Amino acid sequence: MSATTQQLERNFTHRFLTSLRRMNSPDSKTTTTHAAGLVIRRRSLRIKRAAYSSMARAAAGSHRAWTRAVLSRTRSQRRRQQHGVRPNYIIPPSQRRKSVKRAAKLKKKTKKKSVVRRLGRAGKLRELVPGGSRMEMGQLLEETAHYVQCLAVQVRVMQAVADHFSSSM
Amino acid sequence: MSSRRSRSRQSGSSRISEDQLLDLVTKLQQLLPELRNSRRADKVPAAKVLQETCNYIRSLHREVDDLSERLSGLLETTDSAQAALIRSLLNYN
Repeated sequence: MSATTQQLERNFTHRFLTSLRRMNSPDSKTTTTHAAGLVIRRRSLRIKRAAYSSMARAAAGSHRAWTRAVLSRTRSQRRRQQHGVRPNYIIPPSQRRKSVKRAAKLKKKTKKKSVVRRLGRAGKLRELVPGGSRMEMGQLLEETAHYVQCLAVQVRVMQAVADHFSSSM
Repeated sequence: MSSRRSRSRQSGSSRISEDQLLDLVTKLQQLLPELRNSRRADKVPAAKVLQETCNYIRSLHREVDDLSERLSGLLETTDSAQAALIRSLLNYN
């Protein structure tokens, strides 16, 4: 593991655990037992969002476009929540409509070169990498490589935290 | 928002070469568990690398979903002990 990956892992772990602790504070708990399933479900969405935004913040120093995309999405989700509108974090970023349209626009531009043609317009990848719909191919590949590495760290840490919790019970 | 978009357009105009693009694909390939061990000699098609990248990202997203649910369930069971545990983890980190 490289030094930067280690640093990223520490940074992410700290941010993620901090938000977990905030979620776990007594006043954020509900006392109704009949809705326990719903509570767990809602909180798992919050944990998921916290995980993605913690990683985006932890990796923000790398000046990647995907981190900005994740954080601006988080901000708009929060704004919508404050205004009482149902947030759309239930729809994973990969299934949002907008990015598909933008990717379709890019298609015409990228037809000329042979490697580019072999890569196609990489529409699926553009949907999966945050902010990917607005990137040209080179940037998309760079950002994807970085995003994949960060996601792998995120999963590894979440796994470790979950294992740690369940072993201590 | 508009300033960001224009910036990314600028970088789009300075096209990178085919070799650079292929290098990036190779770099990406090294990150994929499925294709990491295939040698440079038996070349994996670029489209295949992209396909596998998509699959890998999707599987990582699914893992995040599953782990979030698992963690949420674990937070439900014990509260005060769990809080102490998170605190100790934070200090340790």
